[in-house]
Amino acid sequence: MSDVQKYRALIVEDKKRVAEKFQRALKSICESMIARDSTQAFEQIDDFAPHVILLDLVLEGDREYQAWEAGMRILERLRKQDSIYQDTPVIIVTGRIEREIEDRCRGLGVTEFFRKPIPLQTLRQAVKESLQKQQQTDADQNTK
Amino acid sequence: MTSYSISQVLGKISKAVVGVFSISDLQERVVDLCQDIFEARDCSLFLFDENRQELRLVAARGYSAKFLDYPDPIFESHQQVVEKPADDEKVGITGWIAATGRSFMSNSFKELKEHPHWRGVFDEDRLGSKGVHSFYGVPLKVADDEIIGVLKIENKRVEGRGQPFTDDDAHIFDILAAYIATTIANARRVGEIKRQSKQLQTITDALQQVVSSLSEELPMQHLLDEIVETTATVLGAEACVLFLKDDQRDVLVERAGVGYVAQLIGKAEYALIPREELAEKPATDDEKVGLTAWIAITGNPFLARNNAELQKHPHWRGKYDPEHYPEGQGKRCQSFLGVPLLVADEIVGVLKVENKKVGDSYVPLTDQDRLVFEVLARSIAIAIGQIRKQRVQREQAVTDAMYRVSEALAGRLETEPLLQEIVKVGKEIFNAEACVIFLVDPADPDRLVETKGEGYVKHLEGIAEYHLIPPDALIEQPEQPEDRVGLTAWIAITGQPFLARNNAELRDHPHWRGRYDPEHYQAGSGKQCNSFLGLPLRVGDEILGVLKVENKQDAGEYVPFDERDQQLFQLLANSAAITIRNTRDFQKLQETQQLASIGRSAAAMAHHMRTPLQEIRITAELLLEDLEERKHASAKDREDIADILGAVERMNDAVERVREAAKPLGPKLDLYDIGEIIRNSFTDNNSFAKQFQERAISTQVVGLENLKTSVIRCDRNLIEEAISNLINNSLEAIGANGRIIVSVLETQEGLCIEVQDNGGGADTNLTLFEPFNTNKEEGLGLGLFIVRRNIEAHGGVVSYEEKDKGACFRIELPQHE
Repeated sequence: MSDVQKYRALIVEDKKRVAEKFQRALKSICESMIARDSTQAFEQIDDFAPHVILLDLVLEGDREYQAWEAGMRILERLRKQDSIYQDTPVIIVTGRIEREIEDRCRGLGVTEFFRKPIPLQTLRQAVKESLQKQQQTDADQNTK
Repeated sequence: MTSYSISQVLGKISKAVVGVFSISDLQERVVDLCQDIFEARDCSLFLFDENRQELRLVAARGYSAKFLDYPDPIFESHQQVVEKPADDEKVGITGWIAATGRSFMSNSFKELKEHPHWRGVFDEDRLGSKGVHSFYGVPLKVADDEIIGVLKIENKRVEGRGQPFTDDDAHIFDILAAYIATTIANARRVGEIKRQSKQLQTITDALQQVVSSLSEELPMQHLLDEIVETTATVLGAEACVLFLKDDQRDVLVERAGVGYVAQLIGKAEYALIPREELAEKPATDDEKVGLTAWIAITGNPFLARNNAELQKHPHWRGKYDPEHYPEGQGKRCQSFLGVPLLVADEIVGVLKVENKKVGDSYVPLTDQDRLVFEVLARSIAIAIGQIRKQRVQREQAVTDAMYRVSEALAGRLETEPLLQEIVKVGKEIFNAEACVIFLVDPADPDRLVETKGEGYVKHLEGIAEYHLIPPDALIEQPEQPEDRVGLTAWIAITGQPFLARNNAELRDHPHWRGRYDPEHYQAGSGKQCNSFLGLPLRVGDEILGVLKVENKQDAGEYVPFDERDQQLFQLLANSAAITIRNTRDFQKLQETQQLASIGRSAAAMAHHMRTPLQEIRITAELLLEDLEERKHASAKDREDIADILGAVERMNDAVERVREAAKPLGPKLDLYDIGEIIRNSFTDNNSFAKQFQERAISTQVVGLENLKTSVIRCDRNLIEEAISNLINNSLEAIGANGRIIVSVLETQEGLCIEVQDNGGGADTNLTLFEPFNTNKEEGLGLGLFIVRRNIEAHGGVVSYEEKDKGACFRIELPQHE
């Protein structure tokens, strides 16, 4: 089994306890940080350069965007033409379940779209797979 | 602002002053009226004496006793009134008004004192330092701008508090003053005439009779007839005729006549032209307008003592002479007097008398006759004006009624208070004994039921009903009593209005039955339906019901409805019908909106529940992991945590289903085979197959082979979901020897699908198709709600009945072209 411990995950989740539980769940896989809103998220992305982002779509009390749109706006900014995070894997874990929201996210190239509540193992599996893919890419680049 | 509307004020004024020819009576009525209408503490009337020299206080209300000792006279017409008077040149504000003919308003004592002619002889006594807080004084002017006096109102008080006079007050007071001035002038003229001739006492009596008939609110025609009759008698004339202007056509039409003119009522007419087009000395006959028209156009009276004088008038044509004086009888017009009828400044018609007779001989009409005639004409004009105003008032009542109806609608948007308001308004407008609405029962289109009533019909709400039959089944002149449908039903069936002026007319209607008469009019009470007006409530071609009003009253007596009442009532009925319809549509809309709002809240609730569910789930899983890592986890721990996870799943599932059920639907219609839909949702449905087999349930589909076409236009997913929900419902109800039958049948409207079981039937105490209504331990009570939602999305109906000790749900789908 490949070692992805050196990789980093960013958990964007407005509910503190849920975010902490996610962090605990990922402890066995990689290092992770928590951002509670879009402002924190972009600070963390710049400082911490995560390899995968777990993203909640509704962020209550977001300082920049309306709660119901905050996650989508973060995703759109990450996927902008000139963004250096265009290829960073994003896993959506949200309470929003509308099909059209999922379609929009998938259109913006998310790795997974999960509706809460998801089992612990599903979450871990998705993060692990993303990081392994990342690792593979890194390995390929090193070989070149 | 006075609490009365202008039309109410005018009504009050006319009632109080018209027809009063005793000056002292009139004076007292005027001050009473002003005090009442304008809520003025003080009111005073000053009139010039008959020589027009001295202005004296003739009537007052309020004020102090000292005030009533006002210098007598207060002002004399020879007094000089200068613009900026020295103290000894001041004439007082009342004098100033009388001299200048200008009105004056002040809403503070300070302002009043600033008037250059203010003397304030008694003002300080009246209100102490506050003085007069509000004041309005106007001159009393008659037609020729002659000032006959001054009318003042002071110190408006509303609920004990001083108030200013408003522009509205001033406006109404101005109208009142003009009216009073004319009436006083008339009364004086009558007084003069009286003095000149004792014989004229009869004239004033006759006059009083004419104008007092006003307060009885007689129909116009009756009044006009009375006018010509009285005038002819008073003047001893062979003929008297009244022409009124028809505003629509610009012609004068003979509206009333006695004597040889009576035959031309409604026929004789004169074209009216603008005054500037009137030739002074017409050269040809074509330029002549006729003498009667000339009076109406110029506003001048005309007196001809004999036939020669008549023929000399440049506009005389003798247009109707052949009808009036048939050839060979040697008759002709011997004398003529015609005066214009003026309402305010508008000429509304012409009143004429011809051929004065004393005994058997014709005598010339005199100047004194003319004087009497002019007074008559003025009073008549006021009378006609009054009737017009009453019409305006009635129209106002309808507008008010409309306003109240629309207000009721805007305020509540429930049918109940709306109907209540309609019958209340209907009863009030006509001062009727009963007003009632019958509506077609939405659940049974053949049933017309009393939905709301005011008056003696009220206790039959929800009880009185009629059976409706198709219009082509209605027998026009039924011979058998049982073929009569009842008058109310007849109105709903035919869409025709019906007006009965009296009980006999009502009974004459071929479909009258008087079915509810015993309930309406107690036996022995002598009561009955004295007048009836019933109109269909219709919107386009759809008849919603019938609006009826019965037993119109006036001054405690029954009076018939007239065509005008019908027009007014029609306005109310139209508005009522549209409003009822709108309210119904609104309620339907509200239901869908309710659904949409459930949908929105469900989506929000779903989101808000999912995050805590996530927290419970992941916490439980992490806990189990910890226990496992420390090798502490017992089988019981694992079981408990599995229970937690199971509960989370079920909750999540419930949230999802509520959200799904409340989601607004936009059915995607296409052509599908009904047989296939039934197979998919019933016989070949995999989720039921196991149960059917294990529980040995008998399943059956009937009727497919009898369909002319098995293809229906629908959203297949929605119909399949509806049917499988009904099957599921049956599966939960049936026990051993369970049986489920699905049958299909073509109906006039479309397709009918029934799902029937032998499970004992549903608990009809529950509102079956409402969401969250269930008596089952499991489930949210959404299944039947979803059936309803899916079927209604197709414009269909779903209903339930118990059949053969089982439940039978019926889906009716309209045929989509």
